Amino acid sequence: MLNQLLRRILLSLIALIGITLLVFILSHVVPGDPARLAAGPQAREAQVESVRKEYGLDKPLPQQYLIYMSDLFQGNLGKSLQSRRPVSEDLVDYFPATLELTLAATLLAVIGGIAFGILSAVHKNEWIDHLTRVISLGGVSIPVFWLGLVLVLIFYRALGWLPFGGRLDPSLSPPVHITGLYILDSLLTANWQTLGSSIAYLILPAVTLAFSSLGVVSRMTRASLLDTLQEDYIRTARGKGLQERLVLMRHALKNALIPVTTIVGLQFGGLLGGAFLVEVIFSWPGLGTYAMKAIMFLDYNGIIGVTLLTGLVFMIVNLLVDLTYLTIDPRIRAQ
Amino acid sequence: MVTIQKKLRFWGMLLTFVLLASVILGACAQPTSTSVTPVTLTIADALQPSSLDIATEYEAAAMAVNRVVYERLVRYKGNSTEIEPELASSWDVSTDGLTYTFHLRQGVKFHDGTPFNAEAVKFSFERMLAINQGPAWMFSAIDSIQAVDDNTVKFILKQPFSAFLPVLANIWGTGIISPTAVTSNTVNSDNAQAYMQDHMVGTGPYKFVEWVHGDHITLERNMDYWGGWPESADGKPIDKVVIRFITEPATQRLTLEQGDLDIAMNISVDDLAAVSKEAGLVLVEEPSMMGTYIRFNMTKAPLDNKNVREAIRYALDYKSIIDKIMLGHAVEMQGPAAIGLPGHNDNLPVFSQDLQKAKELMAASGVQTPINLEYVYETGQEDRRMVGELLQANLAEIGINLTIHTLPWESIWARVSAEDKSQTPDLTANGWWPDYADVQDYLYPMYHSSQWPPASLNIGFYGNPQVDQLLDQALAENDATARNAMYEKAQQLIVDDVASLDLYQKTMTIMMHDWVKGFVYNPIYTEAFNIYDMRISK
Amino acid sequence: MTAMPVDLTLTLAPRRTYISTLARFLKRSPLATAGLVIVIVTVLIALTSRWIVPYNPITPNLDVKLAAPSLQHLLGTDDMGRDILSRILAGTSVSLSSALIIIAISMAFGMTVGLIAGYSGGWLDDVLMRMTDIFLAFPALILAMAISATLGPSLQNALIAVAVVWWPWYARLVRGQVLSVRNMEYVEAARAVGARPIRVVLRHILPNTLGPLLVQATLDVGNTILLTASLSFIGLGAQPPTPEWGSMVSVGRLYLLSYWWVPTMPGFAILFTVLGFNLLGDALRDFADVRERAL
Repeated sequence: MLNQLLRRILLSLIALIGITLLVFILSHVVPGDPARLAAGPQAREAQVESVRKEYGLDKPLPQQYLIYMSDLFQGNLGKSLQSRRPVSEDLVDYFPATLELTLAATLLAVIGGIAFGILSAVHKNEWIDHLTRVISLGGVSIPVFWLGLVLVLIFYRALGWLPFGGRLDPSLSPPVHITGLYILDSLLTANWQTLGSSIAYLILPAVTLAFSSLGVVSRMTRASLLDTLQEDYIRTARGKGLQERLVLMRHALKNALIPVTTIVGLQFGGLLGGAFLVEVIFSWPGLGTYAMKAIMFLDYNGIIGVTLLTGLVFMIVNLLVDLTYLTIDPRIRAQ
Repeated sequence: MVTIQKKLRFWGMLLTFVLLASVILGACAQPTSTSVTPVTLTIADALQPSSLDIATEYEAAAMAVNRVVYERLVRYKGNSTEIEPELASSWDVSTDGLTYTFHLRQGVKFHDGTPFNAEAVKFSFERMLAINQGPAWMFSAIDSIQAVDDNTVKFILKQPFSAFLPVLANIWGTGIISPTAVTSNTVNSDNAQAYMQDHMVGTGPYKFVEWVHGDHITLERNMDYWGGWPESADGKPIDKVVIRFITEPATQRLTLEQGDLDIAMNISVDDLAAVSKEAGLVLVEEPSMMGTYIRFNMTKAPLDNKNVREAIRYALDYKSIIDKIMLGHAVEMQGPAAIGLPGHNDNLPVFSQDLQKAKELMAASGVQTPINLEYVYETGQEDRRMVGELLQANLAEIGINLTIHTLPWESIWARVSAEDKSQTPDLTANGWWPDYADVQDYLYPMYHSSQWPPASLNIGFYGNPQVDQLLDQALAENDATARNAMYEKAQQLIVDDVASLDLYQKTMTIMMHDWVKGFVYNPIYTEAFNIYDMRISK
Repeated sequence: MTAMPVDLTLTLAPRRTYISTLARFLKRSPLATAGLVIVIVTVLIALTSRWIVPYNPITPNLDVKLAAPSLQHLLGTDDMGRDILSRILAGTSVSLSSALIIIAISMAFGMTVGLIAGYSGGWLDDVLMRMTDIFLAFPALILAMAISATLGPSLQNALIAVAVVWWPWYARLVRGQVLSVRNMEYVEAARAVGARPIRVVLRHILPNTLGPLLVQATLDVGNTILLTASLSFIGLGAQPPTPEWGSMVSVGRLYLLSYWWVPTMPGFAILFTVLGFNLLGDALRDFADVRERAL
């Protein structure tokens, strides 16, 4: 089991180095002169040159990559051309918002998905199963950026139930920065006002984002639960006259959820990507917002930084999921 | 199965509980009435600045904070292009136009307590020139700066520069920064660039509080401001300014309508009519000097042919652009420089569509139709997209197939400044916001032949020796009448050469709640607010 | 956006039974039938849109700018006065052909890599699979965004970007299939009689991978339409005035409040089409599952 885990970590690291190379090559093949943009449209040649030097853009490509990689190992992602700050500082500023949104959506998707999954497994091929199937497939089929617009129209504009636009009521100051997750920081500092506001602001974007994954999780739960219910030990349990509810909860669900954990990692990646679109709709100051600006400025370091960070996070989440899977799956544990 | 349904009820209850808890907590978010609520002005802006450093920032996004946190020696008065004192109380110009002497206001202090004096002025300008980025190009005429005594500072120029005062009144690169704040935060002799990126220390009526990246910037009232805080019948002065970065125009409108904003900068023109009808919301609309135009790539066939360019000029349906795309929130440009700038030629023609003439010109050009041309505009500039779509239909009538591309500004710049001019798009839409109040700011960078990219923004590669000569002469000419005559002649020549399609000047449209009082729009300070003079009366 | 690789073995039985089983399966599942109908309708629209659009989807008509849905314009008009229904109909072929191009490229590339990796095994297999790991190590949308941002905004570049992100799924799927049949008797037999590797792969292995590939491709039509629309939404896809659905929503969100139909209608078109392919793909997967169990 330890071997498997080490192997996974090693593979992930190889993948990470590969991707830096890939994105780096791509971004430097594009014609364009980022130094000129940073210096301003009317900058004189000398101004442009001074910026070019400062950002190391005057060196040959392989050397720029080597510089980039050696910096990377020191946690230095270069300077962002759009914000003129170290990319790592930008990421520290913008990432917590994205993480909070993605985690909240993952939580909603998992809880809601499992509930829906159980519902349709229990009522297999009844109308309720068909309905959850349509809702699930609808969730996977709906463009998340469009769903966001529609939900805003309904819950903010028409009903006025939920706030929208940013992470927090603008009259409030953000909670003391500990993790950067507003909900967590508010809890840790017992700041109930910002806690309430940040939860309220989180609901719409998180629900929007969660919708697509909710469908996948519920389909997976249904399939897995149905498989498990056919297993011999369940039949035995039923044969012993155990209550159906007990059978479901104590035996079937526990084992049925094991394969579900594996797709949570995959879904997290999808949600992380989807968050970029949701942030645009909800003026959510996260990595997506940052990436949009980096794209507008052709800010190589910014784009690479965002891609790397999301990759790293995705990788860690998948590792954690693998670890959980290895720990809870009796078949693997037994090996 | 009944038991299972019970189980499901558990899940349902759990879900309900989670949702309820969130909603209840959300409800608690409504601020419980505290004793003194500061008078707050919340402004939504689509763009976030990339830096707050007065020496490097050169973008509209930074204007709003820059105008009230920093102060300049001189400024534009009210809604005009007239120049009035700010940190300088008076000034003299030598007869040869080479020496500008400023007498400074006394008893002014920076937000960090440092006293303001001649050394601070010298320090600020020298820092900006040393960093040599963004706005520095405007100050290339400066030879040296001398602090004569505590309250007198002298600028010596290399050659006469007729627009020097207008340049000093402009917002970019001119603010006076606290020398103590810079020296005490300088790391590796970076002139405190790293620190000033995120901080502002000026003398203005508002102090910088925080910048939550991607979300907002907060300013607070400088109670010790040298100008004091006079009582006003309009309402209370503003204690706290929050500038929120909201990219989506629809989001700005929504939050404005719900009362979460006081001012929205970027409501789309198609929404203006509907929004202004709502009770309590006011549309402030002012003529601007922000020009939008299309440049021809004059180095490449077939647009090196003047007849083809002129045919395109007559094919375009200007009236529809103003009336139906901009819905009347723009005026058609008259020549290459913005109407209203000192030196603008008011006798130039304003064009309208004449397809018959356009077809004749195409025939006269001797160019074989159909021809394919490419139109490029900057991503996000939706009005330029619509102009392109209309132009595409118009040009189809005279045998030109137009393809449209939207690119980030950086990519457009790369293509126009490429050595190989065949890379340059045939038609490039662009806009120009005035830096300072002088037509020179339009004509020189965009039409002087020394200003071809990458040097500057003559992105159509226009070159006419006569125009060059007029612009050079005017630059050094100190007599206003003589200068204006030269500029007017140059504008006429540029129009005769069909160097561009001069489209429109958008009006500045700002939606605000009627409790916001005292807003005055200055066409040079395009996106900035005179928050010091503004009041709130709720 | 989320890819669910189909990981199952499906050996093609004689064609006639396959089709008749499929027909019986569809009859039992109303949702699958609905999906099939949507897919057929969509394909028909894509093929005939040139003739069935009520108005020119490209040429502006500013006199009827932003008109609400009415009998003249069933779904209203956009900011240039173009009929939205016409643009949606014309956009069907843009979306479907984009999806087909992406799937064709990624399938061709992925299949080649998968076949080589699966058949050869050893270090080559390792290297190729590590390559797919690199591409799968990132959220699909973010990698596609980074690639198309660096290539520059255009529909063509968006398609390349999505294909670059997508092929590893096919590579893995095919490799899995190859591994499962590689050591089967008839393949062993072919190899034993001295058939060249390429012949073994093409004649004996490839045909057996087609079933699951087809299921995956059906599901991927929906996935890739969504991903391409997402790229267009953030301004990295189709160029104006191309009637691409994602960019129609993107431009339309300016008009969300006063002219809700502008962004809403193309959104429905995406939902409807993607849902159709997902219903069908989902049913096909179930069908394959059933068959697999039956075997």
